[in-house]
Amino acid sequence: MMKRITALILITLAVNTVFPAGGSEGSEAEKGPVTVASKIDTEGALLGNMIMKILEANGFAVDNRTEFGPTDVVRKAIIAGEIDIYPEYTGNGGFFFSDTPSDVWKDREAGYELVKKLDLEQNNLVWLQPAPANNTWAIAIRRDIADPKGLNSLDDLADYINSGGKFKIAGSEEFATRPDALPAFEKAYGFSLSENQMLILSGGNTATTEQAASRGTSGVNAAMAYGTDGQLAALGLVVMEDSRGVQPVYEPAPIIRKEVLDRYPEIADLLNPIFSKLDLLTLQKLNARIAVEGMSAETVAEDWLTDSGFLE
Amino acid sequence: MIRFEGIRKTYDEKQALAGVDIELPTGQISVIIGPSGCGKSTFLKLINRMIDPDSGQILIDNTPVLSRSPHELRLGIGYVIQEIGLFPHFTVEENILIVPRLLKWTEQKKAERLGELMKLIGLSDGYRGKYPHELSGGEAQRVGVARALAADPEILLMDEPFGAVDPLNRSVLQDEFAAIQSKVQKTVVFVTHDIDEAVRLADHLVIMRDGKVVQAGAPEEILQKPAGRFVRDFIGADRAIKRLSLFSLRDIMQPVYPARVGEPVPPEARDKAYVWVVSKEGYLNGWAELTGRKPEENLGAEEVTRVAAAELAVFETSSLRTALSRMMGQGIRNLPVLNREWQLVGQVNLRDIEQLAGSEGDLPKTEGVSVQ
Amino acid sequence: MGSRSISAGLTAAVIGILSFVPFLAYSPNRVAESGSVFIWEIHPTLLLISVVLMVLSLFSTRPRMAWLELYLPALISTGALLILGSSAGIIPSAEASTARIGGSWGLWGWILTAYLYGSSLKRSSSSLMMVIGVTLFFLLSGVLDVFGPVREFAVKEERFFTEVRAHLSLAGSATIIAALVAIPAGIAAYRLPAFSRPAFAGVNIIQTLPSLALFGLMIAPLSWLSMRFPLLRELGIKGVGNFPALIALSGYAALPILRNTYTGLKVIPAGAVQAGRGMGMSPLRLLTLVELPLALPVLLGGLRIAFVQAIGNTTVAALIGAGGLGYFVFQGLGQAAPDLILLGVVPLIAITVGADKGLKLVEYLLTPKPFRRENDTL
Repeated sequence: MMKRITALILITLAVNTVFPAGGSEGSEAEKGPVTVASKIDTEGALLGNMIMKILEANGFAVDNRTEFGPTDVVRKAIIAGEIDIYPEYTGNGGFFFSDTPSDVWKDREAGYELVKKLDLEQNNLVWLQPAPANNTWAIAIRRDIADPKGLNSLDDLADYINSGGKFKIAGSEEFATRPDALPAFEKAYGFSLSENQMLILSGGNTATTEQAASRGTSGVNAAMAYGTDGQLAALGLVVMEDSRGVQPVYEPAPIIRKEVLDRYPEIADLLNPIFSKLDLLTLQKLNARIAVEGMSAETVAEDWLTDSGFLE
Repeated sequence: MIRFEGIRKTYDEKQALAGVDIELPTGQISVIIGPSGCGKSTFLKLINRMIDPDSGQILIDNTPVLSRSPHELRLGIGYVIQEIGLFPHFTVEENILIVPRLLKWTEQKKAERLGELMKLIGLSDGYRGKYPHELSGGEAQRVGVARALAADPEILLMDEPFGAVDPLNRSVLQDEFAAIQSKVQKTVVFVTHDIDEAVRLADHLVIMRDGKVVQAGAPEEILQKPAGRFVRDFIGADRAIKRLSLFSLRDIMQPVYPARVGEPVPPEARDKAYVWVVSKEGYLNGWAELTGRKPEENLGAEEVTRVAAAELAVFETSSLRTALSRMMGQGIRNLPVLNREWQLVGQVNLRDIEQLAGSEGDLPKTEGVSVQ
Repeated sequence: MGSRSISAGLTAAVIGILSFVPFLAYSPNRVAESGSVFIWEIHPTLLLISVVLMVLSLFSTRPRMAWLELYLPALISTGALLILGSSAGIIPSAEASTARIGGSWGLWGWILTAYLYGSSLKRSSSSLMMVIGVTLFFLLSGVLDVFGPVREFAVKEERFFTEVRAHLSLAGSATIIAALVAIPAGIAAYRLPAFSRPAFAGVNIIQTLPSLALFGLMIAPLSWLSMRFPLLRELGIKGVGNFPALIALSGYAALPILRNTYTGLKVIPAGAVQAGRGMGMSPLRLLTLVELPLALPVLLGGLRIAFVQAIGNTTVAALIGAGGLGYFVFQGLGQAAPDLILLGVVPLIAITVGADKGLKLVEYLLTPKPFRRENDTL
């Protein structure tokens, strides 16, 4: 009987040694290890992998924690020091620091400077240079409606709706009710949507809403979208321009723990040129390769870095 | 020797034992009996400290029981319970040898002891590897007894040990236990509610009621001189017949001179009306009429009325009570008595039984125990 | 004989009917809507597979062909996978690198039929083992590379194995931690009846908390702790990642283990315990020689249940950065890519079933001989 229990314990220990709890190991290199993370979405994966690749190519040992979790989880992790660097959006400063005036986030420069200052002061986090791509909330409509009617901006869309054009948008609960989302659009552009012109999806991410618009599910012909979504073109949707600047600006930038940056200041020099080259169209294209074509974020990141001369 | 001095024990308002003073003799079977709730189980459990008394003390060979730790005490006392309680995941062998194992005996010593015990309880070697669920109730309790005796304790405690066994097997077990005791001579404290079982097995009978000892002594004594109405009623109106259980046929059987086919009838038998006929080896075959024949003549096979020994005869170890019962059942007054090998060794007559039942027990018992 | 013919006949009928519904689904890329693909659209001769399978089903009812029924599930699966494999032919070259094929009514229907039929057989384990073997063979041979989940796998191969390892070690470690606490607690509850009520109340309360909420609740206090005490951070105690996941998962695993330990001990024959005490066993000896060995089968059952449940619960752990197969499920949900979800869910189911059967075998081997029942391995 004792023999049986001992055997059981030994088997368990053996299994746990073969499958140890925890994440992956870093490789042998001179600098680091630096823990690179990202949020669990497509663009996060892309940017996170870019950061990883460029660091690895420059002699850093990297601990891969990309696609870690949703925003609040990743944010808590970096504040707790569990991860060292990940791409965040400037506009999210409005959530992290709630007692800031909401207008400042609509200004690209001012928003960036503010969140940079506050995060450094309060959390010892440094914001590096952002990419000039506004990945903010947008309304996308089917191309086969927009093109014939020549709809390009939200002003055009407002006219179309107000003159009785068929319109039904799929969006999340948050998008439909948050004062700085759809209601802000309605107020600024002078249109108002009735209940049966909206389809609220409880989970509500843009992949689902865009798919719904593309397939015409439940009569939907428009979708809540993010500016840099990769699948828009493939799904036959086009974004209506926010000419009046209603939405906050969400530009991706790497944020890094000050401690780590102080130790390796060259990281900034490596990442800044990359991020300045990532404009809206580029990001859309790269996101499309991942979301639509199904390529791995790692491959897409590596290919682009190589093509752009950042990697050999 | 086990002595109780002023033992009191109360459970939840009810007084289980209200002052017990008694001495139980060494090397004998003391049977504790009484109606439900008389305190007999509590009495037993105080000996091996399954329960501790509220006041008073218990001495085993003049050492207070409380001065020893329960585990150490119990390792030296055998314990047999009604549920039997064999360990279902151990084989017969492992069950029996459990206390020796706890005492860290050598393998050799354990093996020897196992052999002895298996013989003692009458189970063949084939039983060693069996599991309790493969055993009948009777077999299981035999293993239970062997287990209790394994480490050769001085004292054996038995709490209604045959209660879970069917009546048929119960008699067999009682017989066999008595046989075992005659070999091992332990100090046995045996609790039962069955008066027949008590009378059968006891050397020393203790009758309890409401937490006190009402009468204690040899069973004969109690049967002949019950102390008071309660004991008389408890024993039952058939005291005289119960007494017959105390004696075995070996004690009173008459000698027998059987005839064999092809031989003349033995002289000692010639004056009777008939003679028992046995085989060459001595097994009972039947009887033959002697009236109107010449005694010197050889016995012919055609003269023998065959009988079935199993239906007619009784064993020498059986009690008078069994013999009386058989006589009534078969309607005859003379029974052949066989030994354990089924050979004819004696005969018993109703007259002999009547005489004994009427007398005041002046026939000495030849051994320390009575067996059926 | 009667019921066999019925199930064989039913199987043949279902196979036949499903040959005429959309068998597969074709998508030119990952996000586009998928279109139906019928068997004959891939190649008309593939309908022969349906015919053959139907004939074999009916043949298996004949007295001398009864051996056929054992192989039928594997044969049906082979047919389904062959059709799936051949579908690569219909992909236009322009879309070759991004197109993917998924299952539709036909494919899933056939596979379900094969599974149900196989489960109904007397030697169901052998039959289903063959199905698994066939599936693995097809997967490894590369024939199924156009299949949606396989394409997703190809892109994320390394990550897949990392997450499988993470998933198993999380579930395993949680079970072990829970056992280290719950088994002694179960023994204590058995020996001290006063303790049993608070013990059960405690683990029951944990069970009522939804897993996501429990994970979320862990984050704040643990983060605060790890910030206040950098030493804890060094030791790996942080608000997100493995540690909170482990705590929550262990909490859930505690109930089955506690309950089974307690019950297993309670149903031991009281006579054996009394005899053991009466013969001089100390409480510890009694526990190790009598009580635990007799309670072991039930106790092991509790461990198995806890582990299998933990595998399921661990899926949510991906949401707080602990990894595991949930990673694929949530990414798939976020990107509206059902193939990715399948990549998470199907291995999850396979692991769960495998763990359950594997542990049942271990239980059987560790059960004392007298208590073994032959059907326990199934």
